Amino acid sequence: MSISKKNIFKQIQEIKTQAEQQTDQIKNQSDLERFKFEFLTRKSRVNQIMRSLKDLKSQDRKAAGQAANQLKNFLQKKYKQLGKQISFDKNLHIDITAPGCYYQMGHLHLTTQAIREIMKIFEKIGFYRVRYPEVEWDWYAFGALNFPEEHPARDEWETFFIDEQSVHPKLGKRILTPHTSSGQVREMQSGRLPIRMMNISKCPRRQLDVSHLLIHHQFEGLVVDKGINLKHLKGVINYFVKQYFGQARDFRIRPYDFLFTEPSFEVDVSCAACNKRGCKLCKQGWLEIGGCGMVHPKVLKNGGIDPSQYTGFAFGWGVERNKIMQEGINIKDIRLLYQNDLNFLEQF
Amino acid sequence: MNLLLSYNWIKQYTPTKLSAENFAKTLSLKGPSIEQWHYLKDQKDYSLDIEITSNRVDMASVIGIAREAAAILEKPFQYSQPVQPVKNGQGMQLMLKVPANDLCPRYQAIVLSGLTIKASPQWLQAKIKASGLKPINNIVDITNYVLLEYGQPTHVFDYDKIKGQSIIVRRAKSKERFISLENKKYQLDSKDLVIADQEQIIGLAGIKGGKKAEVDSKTKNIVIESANFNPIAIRQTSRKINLKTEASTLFERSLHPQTTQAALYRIVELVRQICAVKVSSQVLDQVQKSKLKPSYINFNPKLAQQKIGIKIPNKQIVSILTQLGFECQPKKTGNYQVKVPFFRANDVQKDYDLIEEIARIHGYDKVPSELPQGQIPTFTTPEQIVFEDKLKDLLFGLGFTETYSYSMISQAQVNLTAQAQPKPIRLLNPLNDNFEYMRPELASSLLYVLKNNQTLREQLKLFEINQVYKPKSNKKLPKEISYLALLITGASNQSLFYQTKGVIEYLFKYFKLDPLKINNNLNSYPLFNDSTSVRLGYQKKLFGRLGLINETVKEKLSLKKNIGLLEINLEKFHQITKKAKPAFKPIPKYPAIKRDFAFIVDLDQTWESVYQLIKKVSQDLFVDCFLFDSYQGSGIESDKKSIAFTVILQSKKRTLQDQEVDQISNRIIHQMKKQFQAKLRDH
Repeated sequence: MSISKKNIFKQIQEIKTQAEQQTDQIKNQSDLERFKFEFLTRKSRVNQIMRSLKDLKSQDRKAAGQAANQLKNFLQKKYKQLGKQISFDKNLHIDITAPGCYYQMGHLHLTTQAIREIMKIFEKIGFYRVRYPEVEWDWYAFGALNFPEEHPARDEWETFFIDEQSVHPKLGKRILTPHTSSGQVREMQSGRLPIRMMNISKCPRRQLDVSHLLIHHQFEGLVVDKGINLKHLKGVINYFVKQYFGQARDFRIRPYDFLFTEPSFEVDVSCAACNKRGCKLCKQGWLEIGGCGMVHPKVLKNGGIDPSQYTGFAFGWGVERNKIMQEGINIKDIRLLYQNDLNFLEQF
Repeated sequence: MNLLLSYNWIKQYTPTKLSAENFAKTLSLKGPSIEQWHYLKDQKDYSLDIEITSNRVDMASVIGIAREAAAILEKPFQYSQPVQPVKNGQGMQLMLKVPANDLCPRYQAIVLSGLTIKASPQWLQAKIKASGLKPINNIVDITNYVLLEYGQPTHVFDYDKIKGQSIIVRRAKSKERFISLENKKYQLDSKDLVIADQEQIIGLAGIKGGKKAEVDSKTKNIVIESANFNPIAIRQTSRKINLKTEASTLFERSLHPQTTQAALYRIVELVRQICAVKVSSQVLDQVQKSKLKPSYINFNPKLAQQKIGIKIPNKQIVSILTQLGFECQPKKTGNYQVKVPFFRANDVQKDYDLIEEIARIHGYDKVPSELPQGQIPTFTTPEQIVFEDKLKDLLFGLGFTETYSYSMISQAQVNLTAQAQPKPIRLLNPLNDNFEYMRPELASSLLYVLKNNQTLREQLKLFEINQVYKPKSNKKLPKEISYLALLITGASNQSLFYQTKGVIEYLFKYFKLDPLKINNNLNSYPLFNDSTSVRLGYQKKLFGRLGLINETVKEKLSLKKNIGLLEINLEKFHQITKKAKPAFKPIPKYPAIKRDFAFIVDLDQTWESVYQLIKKVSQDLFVDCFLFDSYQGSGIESDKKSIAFTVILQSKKRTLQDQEVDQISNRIIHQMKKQFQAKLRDH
């Protein structure tokens, strides 16, 4: 049998391919022995090739010899590797159904999550977040917002007071501000214009029941600029409603009465459960989000802004209230949010 | 306030073919909110449940709603004024005096005679039933009927029970007694407005009638009162004696003095029609004329477009205002002189009030939604807020659960840290004892959360980031500072101390601060013991404390587990983190060498001094040195402990040789022995 260099190279390639194909099927010791027998024993094809090298023409012998040696090294290395793998698997007993390692999971409060969702939406349209005092002067919470001296909101049934008598000649008593609207005049007084404020703070009120918290958070949007009108108020509400509640939800504004906006509105968002047909979760197909309106010229004046030059709008809504109105949350008793029961907190 | 009104009745004034549902929905978008409508089978009518906002008390009646509906639905408002009653009976004397006229802008009264008390006719009963009232007798039903129709509360006295044929509207005397129709006794004072005869109080103005001149089944002659009272006075009295009536609710919202007349005429008309009585006096009328003067607004119609954002033609503006009862006179300037109808005098005073009227009747749904076009502010959320939010994420990542507790706390809770805090701010009118003070710290809130979650889980990791309220003076607002408090339970005290300390060290590392140094542990904080707690400082600025909750506190709150607690002032901590300058450091060119050591040292040997020693000995080759084991127990003398640590050395200039490293190792061993009597542990 005459042997050519070409033939030898072809054989070497074949053996390499075969060996590679077989490696995937080697699962245990006896598979490994079979591999050894086939590729590395005296009678194996590699050794046959080695032996036939001498029959080659002398000028071809060197190249073919190198290739054959490479193949042999390759096969020996493969054999060793496979041997390691098999003994590795043999010594390990992994129950793949046993649970993975435990990492303690953290939980951010639903209120924090809601505030972040809200800020994410408003930051995109240029709003910034601020925080104003919760223990506040009567003037910022009421006086500067057109509340007459004898208004029921100033009653001790509705608002928490610190002082019995006024302690500041202009600013009056210290109180716990029952709404974030107290931040409106403070923001105006900062002197920054235009304003796109988002004031998120705690607001204590003297009530505690299924739908009222002693303290809830409000987010108060305030926009003041030249040329702001009702269209823009509707534009911002529309933007928020679609992003926070979903594209399919609709909204409407209805006339309402607040002392510090004129005109004032109540905003409703369409009920996701019945799609405006009316169901037990909503009022005739709509859910109230909260109030809003065009900033009253007197409030602008109190904040040191000229109402003949600037106009604005404001809205102040409940963080927790809006959160539980999102589709699918299904929390009926709002007090759960502040009971700090871990069975509740760990769900979010 | 909410009001029930008969739909059929409204339709008598404003004819419409709309179903009750569509009527309710249409009005809700432009005027009063009508939340519900109930079908009444017996009356073949709908009862509408209407919400009246406090500025629109003029709508709190059938006529008010009908007038509003006419403008919204563009239908005629079919209303005619009742006529002035003419005296046709035998004259009966009645004196009217209003000394407290500052609290009573108008008082009208009339005497009717020859009444027989009996049931009212069916048609009248049906209407008041549809509005949620129970029929009683003819005269009560008629006054209720007119209350519903006109929104003006009135009252009827038995003429023959009024002493001295005099009605005096005055302030009550100090401790003067009033007995109501229900026989309830009230003690009044000089702030309360009353209706009296020559001897006694016969009515609590605007709130309740009195027993003294009550109409009963034998009543023949009556005095009808239709008056206007000061809203503030009514509200104060009503609140003080805790008596709220339909009348007081309306008066509190400020009725117009002009309304009294039509209501009085209407009552007389109905009483004459139903009860065949005679009019036995003129209409007595004490009025402050100045209060009846109409007001005018100079209105520039261009303003409407500016504020609403869409163009509404002048013709339409005028038509809307006219339908609402305003009278518009064009002026040469292009403006309008707008006369405000008396019933809107309270809530429409300026041009922007008119714009609201125009916009809502035109329809808010016709205004498009557009985002503001102006410049976006360059100002951005203050760093402090962003920082606090970031911290929440870091703690979340470490497996902590966030809690929110109320800002108000109880005396018991205050007492937990009282020695360490200035006296917290106390509320004048707390909801109850549990919420009396504004909390000056957050730690105790977390301990209460723990108390309520004790049975649940082995390991708890809780935190809160929130405001605390530090009083400044009696005349200033408190300082509101953001704090972080966190606690860990569910391990040995020793482990908890280091776990808690690990959190602040983690934060230091995150913010690229120099490692936390603990120099003193003189803490004296009521929640901790001095030996197991530390103050936290950075470059001599204190910003917080951490430690193990002591047994006294645990016992007080019946807390069973060991607790590690950390509390930091986030304003101070934020300022500290701003000092870190995370600049790029060149990547080392030469390899670092690591050596481990284990020594037996005295039990009270501090790690800090070992660390300093290593640093000193290693000189400029020092990279890091960290403790990986500290052990006391079997195999080691009881007053000793074993510490094991790793030292990492590296040169910026060359690859370190074994020889060099060995030299330093030997020096470490030598110095440890010399300074701390440390003994190298055998391997």
